[in-house]
Amino acid sequence: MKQEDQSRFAEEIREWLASRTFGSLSPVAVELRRDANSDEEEAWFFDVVLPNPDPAEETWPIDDIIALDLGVRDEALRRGLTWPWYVSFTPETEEEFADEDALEAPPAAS
Amino acid sequence: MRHPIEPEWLLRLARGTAGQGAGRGQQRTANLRRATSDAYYALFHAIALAVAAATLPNASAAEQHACSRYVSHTAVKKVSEWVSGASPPLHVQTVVNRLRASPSLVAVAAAVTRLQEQREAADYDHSADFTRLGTLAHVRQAEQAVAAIRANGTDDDFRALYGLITLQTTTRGG
Repeated sequence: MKQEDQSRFAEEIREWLASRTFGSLSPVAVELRRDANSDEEEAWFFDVVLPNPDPAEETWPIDDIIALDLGVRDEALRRGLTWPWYVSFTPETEEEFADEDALEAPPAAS
Repeated sequence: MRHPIEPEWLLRLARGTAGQGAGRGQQRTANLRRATSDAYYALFHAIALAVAAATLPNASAAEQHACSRYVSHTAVKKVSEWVSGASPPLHVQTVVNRLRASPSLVAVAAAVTRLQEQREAADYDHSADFTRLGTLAHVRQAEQAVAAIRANGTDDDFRALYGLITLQTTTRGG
């Protein structure tokens, strides 16, 4: 399979993913990047930006996350995108979270 | 007295480390990395124990615990990747295609592939970013996968998954 075909398939899946709804999840944006995975293989990474969930729930509904995973897998298999590919999630806004790491220095080594 | 590794205890640890129920404020990056790693290990050990139980159904719990040590991360990852979309070897294609039609099994395989990659980033990649929302999603995905493994111990598709992992597993030494 030509690399340009693979790039086109990945971009088509990115566009498909950005336009779909999975249960309560509607991606705000989807970024596609080509990078090495943990085995140093070239892989496709779909970085999905999601609206922040209900604070009482603390994260997104896991059944909807799984539906999104299955949707991407089915599209990748249907279009012929070659493994590996990965989907990760980023909240739309993080302003309500203060990063504690920035508030104090790490303990001195003894 | 033996204290075997219990996946549910690792999940409890991951929930606490990730700050579930702690209210507003982001956890420390090191905590989020540890929680992601613990969530992965909870799932890995649940699968390793299920593989040992399916392979040696008449063995004692202690014997199954011992044999589960031969189940490798590579074996679990490889078979999960086949279910998730990687091309399997020719002679297992038929069974992999069958497993791809099982939603609960596919969800377990998807959890393995995501958490294994995230665990590598958590433990080794200094540039990786972790959010509490994303980390709690990892923990919940591991919880759901472990629950599916517990609920489907005698399911034909899950037993086939464990059989494929056994085929990828070899004993060492001897």
